[in-house]
Amino acid sequence: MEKIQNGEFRKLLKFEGDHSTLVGLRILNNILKVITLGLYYPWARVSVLKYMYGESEYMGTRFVFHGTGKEMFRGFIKAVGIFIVLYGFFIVCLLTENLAAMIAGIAVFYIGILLLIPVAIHGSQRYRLSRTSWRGIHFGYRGNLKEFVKLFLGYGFLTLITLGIYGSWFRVRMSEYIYGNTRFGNVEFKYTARGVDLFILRLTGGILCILTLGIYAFWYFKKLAEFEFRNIKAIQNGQEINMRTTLTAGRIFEMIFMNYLIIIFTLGLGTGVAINRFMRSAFENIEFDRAIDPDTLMQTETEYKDATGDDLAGMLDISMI
Amino acid sequence: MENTGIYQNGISARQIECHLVLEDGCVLIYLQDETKELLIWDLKALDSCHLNGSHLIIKYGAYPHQTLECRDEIASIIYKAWSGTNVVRQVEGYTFKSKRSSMILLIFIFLGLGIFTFLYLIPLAGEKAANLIPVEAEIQLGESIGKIYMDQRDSNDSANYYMREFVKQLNFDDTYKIDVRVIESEEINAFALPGGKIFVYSGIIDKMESYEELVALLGHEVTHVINRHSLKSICRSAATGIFIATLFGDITGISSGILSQADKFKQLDYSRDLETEADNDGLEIMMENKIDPKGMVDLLELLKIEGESMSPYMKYLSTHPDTDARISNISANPNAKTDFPDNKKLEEIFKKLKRCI
Repeated sequence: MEKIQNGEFRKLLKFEGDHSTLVGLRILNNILKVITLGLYYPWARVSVLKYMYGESEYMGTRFVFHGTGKEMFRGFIKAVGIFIVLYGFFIVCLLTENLAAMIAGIAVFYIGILLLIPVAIHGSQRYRLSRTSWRGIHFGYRGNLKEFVKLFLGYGFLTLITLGIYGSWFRVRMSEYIYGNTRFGNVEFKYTARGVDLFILRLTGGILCILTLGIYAFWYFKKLAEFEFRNIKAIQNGQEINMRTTLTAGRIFEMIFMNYLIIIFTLGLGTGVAINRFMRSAFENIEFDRAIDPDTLMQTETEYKDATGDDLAGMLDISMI
Repeated sequence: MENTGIYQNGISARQIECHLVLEDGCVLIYLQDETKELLIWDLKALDSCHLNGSHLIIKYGAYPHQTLECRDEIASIIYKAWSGTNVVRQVEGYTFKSKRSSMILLIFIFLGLGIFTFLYLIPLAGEKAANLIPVEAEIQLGESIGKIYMDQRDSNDSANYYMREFVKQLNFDDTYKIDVRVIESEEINAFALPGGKIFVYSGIIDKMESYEELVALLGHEVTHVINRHSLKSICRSAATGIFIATLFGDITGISSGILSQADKFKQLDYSRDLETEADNDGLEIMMENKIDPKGMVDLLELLKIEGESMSPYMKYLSTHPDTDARISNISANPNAKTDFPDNKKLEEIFKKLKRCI
């Protein structure tokens, strides 16, 4: 097992995916989705997740995604059902041609979608983390749905009335809650950022981007990534594990520019190559000052198989770590 | 060869090395730690067995599962024993084992099919769809385009009168009512709209030396109408357009832009095929009307002289095939040598028509 001296940062993550497999997998999934009129979607999602997790390595051992197409399909049906009810109600209200009913329809529809976002984030975290393991130890999410929805709506409302200024605090509060409730066996996590720091980072970043006609954006992305990793801590046996990223603005520029070219000139077929390239450079640049001790890493989390939240998140296009 | 693997008990992340033996449908796991314990897993009772390249992961028992990981030969032996006669498992194992090569093969098959669909199937489907459009709708479409066009142009009434007389002397397929109009313009041009409307520019009539050339021109344009060439072109490009939009619509506008340009070149190719078809069928129409087919060659010679001023680049982008190619195509037609007596009536109308230009 790798031992790391305190304070010395090391790379422990690796992404081993190869281009042709992911490109082929995506093509196969798309063909099957077309043939089955979209019903293959859950299995397609699972196959890509299994592949991505299976190619991700921490301290020489790969992660395993345990989710199945069946679970995802059940979640998918429920998620589709929720959308049908929402849209159905909306359309029925519009058809009444009664002004009050129409306003009610629109209101219910938007409030419904708004409520679905935290529900999807919560569900997705619970499902994804519970179905991910490393050396047989599962991740887990212990957040409470009611609490999370309340937080989301409360801070969301503050963001709205401050015309987005509160957005940085909103983002930090959400991450605090999510990381605070994330477990990897008996390893806990915390998010230590302050809203005001993120706000200053965003404000100066935005201004410099405008002044430099966007060129500063690569340095801005670098600073955001650094901010994020600096503030995520893992805690095992009372000891903190710190992370950092060594991504440079040049590397970010190269990655965005090349990936853009790859996607365009392969008419989208090469998206898999772009994803692989992104994963590789992201993983290669994450460093830890301490490794998890596998001998004292114990299984603590219960199993959770409901994929509705994850499917909802997929449909609402919310991507979480 | 050592049949080794790594065992995890699902309670801690500790990895225990082990020796593996496959016997009577069971995996025997000899743990190499201080316990020296022997675990026996019945293959039928495995929770899952997943092959990824040469790497096998087996899960056993209820949550939290115990896991066994092994590689290479022992991995494929265990997987083979587990899949038994189950075809789905066998196929899955094969695809995951040689993931990379099967995926590369798949990419090539997909690209091949994609190119075939794009180049042949979709345009063919568009063309077939054109046949479903009723003649009345086609006529109506032609009428409305023709009306817009005529509103912006000067027409020559007396020339139109003689043109009508000229057409009356000829026999065309009667699916469409052929209506030929003369447009005042020095341009050497003529075109047909869907449904039977044909516009001939006075410039081209002016350059013609014989009535046979005019019959050749009309034969050519009437073929465009009867064979529904414009409608087919419209449907083909619409079909390809929809194909491109569905495939690439949500990725990036640039990708679909590149494909649309490729499609334009393909359309040019198609339109040249249609022109050749119109030349050939136009010749047939001349034969049916007992008009000297030499008129077609003369007409093409006329177009050639007029086209000489065109730059080579424009020729490349032209919707019509190279005129020399058209002339040799027509000259090679055995019918082109047929001799017919002069048609005095047509000759007379043609002269009157020329005088009005």
